[in-house]
Amino acid sequence: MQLIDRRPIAVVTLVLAVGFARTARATNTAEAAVRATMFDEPSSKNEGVRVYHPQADVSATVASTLAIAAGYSADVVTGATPATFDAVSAATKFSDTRHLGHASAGFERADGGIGFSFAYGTESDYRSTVLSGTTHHDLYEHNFTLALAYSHNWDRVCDADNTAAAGLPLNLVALSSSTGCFTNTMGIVTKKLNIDTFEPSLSWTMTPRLVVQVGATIQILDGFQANPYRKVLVGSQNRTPQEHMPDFRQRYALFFRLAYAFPDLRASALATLRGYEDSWAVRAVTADLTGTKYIGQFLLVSGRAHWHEQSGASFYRNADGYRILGPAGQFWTGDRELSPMGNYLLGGKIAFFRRPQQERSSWFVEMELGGKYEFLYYRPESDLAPNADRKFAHIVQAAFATRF
Amino acid sequence: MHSPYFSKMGTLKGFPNPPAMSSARQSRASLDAIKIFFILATLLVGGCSISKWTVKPHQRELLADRIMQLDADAQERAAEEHVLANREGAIGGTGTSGGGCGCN
Repeated sequence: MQLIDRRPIAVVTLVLAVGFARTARATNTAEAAVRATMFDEPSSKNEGVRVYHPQADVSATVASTLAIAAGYSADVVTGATPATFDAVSAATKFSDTRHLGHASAGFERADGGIGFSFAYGTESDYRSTVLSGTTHHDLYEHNFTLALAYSHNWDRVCDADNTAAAGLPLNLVALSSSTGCFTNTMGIVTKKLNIDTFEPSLSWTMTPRLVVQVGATIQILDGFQANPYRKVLVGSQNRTPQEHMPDFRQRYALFFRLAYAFPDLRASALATLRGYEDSWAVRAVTADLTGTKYIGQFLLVSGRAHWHEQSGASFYRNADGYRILGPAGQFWTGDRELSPMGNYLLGGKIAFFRRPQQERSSWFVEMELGGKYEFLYYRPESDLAPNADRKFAHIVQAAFATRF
Repeated sequence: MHSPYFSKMGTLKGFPNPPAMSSARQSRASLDAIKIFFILATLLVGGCSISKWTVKPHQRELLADRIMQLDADAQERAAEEHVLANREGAIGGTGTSGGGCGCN
């Protein structure tokens, strides 16, 4: 069942493609890492949503210039969510599993590099194929790094065959289950969603203690973007058509990041500020601050605070709004992420490192064992907003990595 | 920018128009954002021509530490991005590469 928005896969793939290539280059070693994350979002009305997200990745530098990486992750999702966005519908239970595999290769020189990445994700009602390319170049004695990343998604979404709706959105029927998806079953069709993501950035080593970065993210989505299972109560005649969204969306973000060292404290601060706007009239501001400190020789602790505030999409209304006023235009949604909302996140992380006394005589260079807890608190517009019964979420994570 | 599909498809009979931003206003906002990005980029590159502002290789000890890397752990950042991008209506801002450490 389609619960989670898969569009971020494009950005996540960029993160993986660039990140692993650079990690391997920087250390000139190999690394194997496993991580398990549990996302638990309780509800005041039902059992809520729980996601288990295991990850396994390996990366290595071959012949000092070629960095390769591969990995696997999954989402095991269980929970309950209302099939109809209105003020009264009870939640129905669901479960689904998503699998995602990725591989990347990068060629590195002393002052730059280029990398390519491929990812494929599959689940019962959604398939995603992603190709990414990244390049970065150091300028002015390595004081600046100019980087560009691009990815394209060829995604496929399972949907009910709505030919009978004859183009009238109020006649759209929601998909009842994922049975028969991608198998030419009568009454079920496959729709396309193409996503292009472009992310340029410029980093500057400003002082021996300070690195800053400015960048932008531009994303264009073209295709089916609604939740095929979701219905929305529209108007006063109890009509519940399938969620209906525009096929086209342009998304823009500008971001500023910095890292500042406090050598006396053996600590650092990382900060991010992001402004966002899209063609559905969602505007958002996000700020993120992480402080990290060494304790002794083998322990690293960090604390994180995150704040996000956004406006709603131009066609968003809450449950009573759609029922009393009808839709805003000919689109309607029950997606919390398109409503005016905000959230706070607070959390902490601890990591323990072990390095051998004599590196040459050991089979590993470093081992890292880490754990993290984060609390995510939502501030919906009102109790009539989508998923307003889920006020907060717990994020628990454990990770283990070995560097050779 | 405004969705051409959104504009083209109009409204349903009997229902009011959506409170959308005008095309001109959205285009202006996007242009402003692009201008700000290029002004910042120009300022940053321009600043580099002043040699006293450059950081020499022997001054990069702190910058080479893992806690100073903007993109230190790709796996961890992918997990964070996966959670927050699914619970927020915005994307991006994770950075494509960086640090500008030049430690190699």
